[in-house]
Amino acid sequence: MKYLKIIGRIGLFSLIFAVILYYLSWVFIPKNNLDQAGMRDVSANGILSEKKETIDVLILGDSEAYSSIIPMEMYEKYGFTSYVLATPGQPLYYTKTLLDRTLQTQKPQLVVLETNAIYRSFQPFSPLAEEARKVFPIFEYHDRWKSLRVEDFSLDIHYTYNNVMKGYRFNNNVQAVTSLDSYMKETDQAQIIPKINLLFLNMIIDTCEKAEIPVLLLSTPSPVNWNMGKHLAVADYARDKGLTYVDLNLQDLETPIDWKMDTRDAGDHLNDAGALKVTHFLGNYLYDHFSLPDHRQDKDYLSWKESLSLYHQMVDENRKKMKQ
Amino acid sequence: MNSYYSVAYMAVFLPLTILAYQLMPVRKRWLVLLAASYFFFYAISGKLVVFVILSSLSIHHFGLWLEHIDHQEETRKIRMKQKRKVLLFAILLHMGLLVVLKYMPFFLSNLNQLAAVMGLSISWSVSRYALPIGLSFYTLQAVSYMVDVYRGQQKADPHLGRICLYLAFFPQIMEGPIARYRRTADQLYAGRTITYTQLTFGIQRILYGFFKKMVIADRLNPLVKAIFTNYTDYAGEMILLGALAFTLQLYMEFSGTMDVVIGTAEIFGIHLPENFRQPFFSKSISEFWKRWHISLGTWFKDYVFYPVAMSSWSKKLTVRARKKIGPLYGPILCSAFALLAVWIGNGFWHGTGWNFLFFGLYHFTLIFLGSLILPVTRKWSAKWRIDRNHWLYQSWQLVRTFILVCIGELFFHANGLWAGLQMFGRILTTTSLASFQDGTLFSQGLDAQDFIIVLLSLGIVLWVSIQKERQVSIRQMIAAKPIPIRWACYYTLILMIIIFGAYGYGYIPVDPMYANF
Repeated sequence: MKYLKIIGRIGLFSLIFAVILYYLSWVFIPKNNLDQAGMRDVSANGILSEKKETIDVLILGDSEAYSSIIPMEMYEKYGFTSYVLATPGQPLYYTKTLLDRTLQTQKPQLVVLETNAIYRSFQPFSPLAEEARKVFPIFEYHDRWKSLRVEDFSLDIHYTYNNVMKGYRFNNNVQAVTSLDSYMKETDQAQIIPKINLLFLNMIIDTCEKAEIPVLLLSTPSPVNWNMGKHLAVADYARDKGLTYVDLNLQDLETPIDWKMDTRDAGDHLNDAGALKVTHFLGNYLYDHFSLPDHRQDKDYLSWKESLSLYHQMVDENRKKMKQ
Repeated sequence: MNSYYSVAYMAVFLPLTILAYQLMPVRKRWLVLLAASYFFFYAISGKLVVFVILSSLSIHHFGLWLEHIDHQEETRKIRMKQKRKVLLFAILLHMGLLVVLKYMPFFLSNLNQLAAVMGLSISWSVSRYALPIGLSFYTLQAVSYMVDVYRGQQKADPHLGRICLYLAFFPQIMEGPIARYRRTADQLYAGRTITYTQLTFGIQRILYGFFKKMVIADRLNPLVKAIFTNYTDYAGEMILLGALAFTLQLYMEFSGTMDVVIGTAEIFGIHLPENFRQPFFSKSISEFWKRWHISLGTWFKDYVFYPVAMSSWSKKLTVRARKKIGPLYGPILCSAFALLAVWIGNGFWHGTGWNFLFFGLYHFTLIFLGSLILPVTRKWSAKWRIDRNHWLYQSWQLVRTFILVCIGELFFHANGLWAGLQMFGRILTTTSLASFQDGTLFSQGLDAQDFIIVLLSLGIVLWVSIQKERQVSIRQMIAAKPIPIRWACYYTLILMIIIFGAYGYGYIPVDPMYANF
């Protein structure tokens, strides 16, 4: 009886606390997906203001993804819409969080998973903290106490950020690779995917399978991050799961990556010139292998047309300067 | 799991340990604590856990050996001689390991520099070793056990498990407090049942520790880091602020961790010694060290100061000094040797760098001078009719001590002795109010709102400290209130930590400051 009383008391205390925390989470969560509103990862979270069920291809991954794939270029040439849902140093458990959240409003016809995050290590208990942040976003946005306004207490959320880059991050710095000696050097030793990463990778694939969305595994070119051992392991995994795997570190692109000019940080990430080459290949590949719709004449997708024009305004001048 | 503040520790490890402990029969509960301790050690230091296991085996063996000698039939003199040899060997073994792992790189690199200056073509290769966590803490505990057995103040414990738990108990392994065998070993082994009061009181103390660490210490981190890293970019007033901020940060981090440690132990019904007793209410440096890192201070007092001060040569010296210098200053001057040994040890215990030695000598000088001039100041006070018990005089003593402590901490945290001297020099030569007027103050990682939160939180800690100083137990006070008020207090404290804590995106938490000692 005594123990029951104690357990009951602890339970009631926790319940009241959870209710308080839940309400406060609503107060602290940004009411818009703009940077000024306190939103984190605005580039990826721009997807929150995309119209419901308008994204055809969802691209998941880390900085390799947002440095290598330009959704607007693919839209302009082939008409299908895509969004790069990538954040710097993204661990797979966060990829899963972003995917789950996005599938509540979007019904993509394809998910592209950039493979670099598959090997990113994280603490075994970090996913637990991620779950806590998911249930109680106050843990992520607690620092907004500095900028809270009366409107925040109304709990009315309205996302207005139109990310014309659709998750791509433009960067035209050039820093050449110093050595390519060990890049994709032949080996027959696959680099084992860490168990905890494999767990989350399987969860991502399962989520897509349940939603009947095909998954394409994609390795974007990166001498710093990718090697033959990783390629072999991911290829094995794709074979086991019946997934398509494209490794652009081995694939011949129509215009090959020039490692003196197409990287912004000595082979870690591509720059805009490299991204254009990858995007050109990927757009063509997706167009050929997946029956993706063309929305260029679709009235419901007028905002994409406007975004395309804004996108060109933002990048064309810089590209011209680079060519000169 | 890398500290007591990690999600893994607080959300998984500790609750599971509590559950396993409570479910286990009383007699075997110590095994849960021991397994949890080694797991915790392994999670942080990996295979280096073998060091603490070997240390436990070693002191277990030496303890029994010392006691075995006591039971031999030789004369007391012979037995004492044998015991002294065994103890010396045991201490050399344990302290030697500490010196090799922690201090050898420092000594060798200095010897190399000295050889180079002298034009000698000798050079020792300097290897740095991975240090097991809490090495300096558990080594001191190991030494204290063996010395106590040698002195006959402690019976050698034949139970290896109890000794293992004494050295490795997980809440205290990272930052202490440095416990004594006779006061903790039985508690650790007792397997007391966790009661509701123990649980709630323990959690309250843990939460208060989190508040100090996450709301104050971690929030001050960017400011402290910026000033101490790039001190040449800052004017004297900012360096002064940096020294003040670091002193408060260190106190909040260390005493906060002690709250977490002692609170955790309280849950299991174990009372660890307090390490802090409102140190900033000290009226002298000597009093400060009786209130700050108490367990280290008492260790040095019991195992360095007294053995040196009570040695036969020291006694002889005191008798001679008493005759030549006088009954007042003679003993003070003689005790200076013991005091010097304590402060050299204290300085080096804190780290391998000349600034740490300077830190020790600085405090030695202040304490020694303090005891030398005390009779004079008392005489002057009486002559000029200054009431030393007047609040104004006592306030002056508090402020003076606090300033002296801040100066010491500046050298303690500076990147080497030279950097410390330069920082101190800049305080003396370039201090004005300019940085507080031109926007520099609020552009070092802390804006005005951050400063307000820090000041308000410091106000709370000050209020709690005053209550403690008046022997008022706030936990008892809260426990006596009706449930709605009690719970409102707990919710407020937890929410303050969640909302105002400096964690998550954009924050770099302070590493446990004493964990590497």
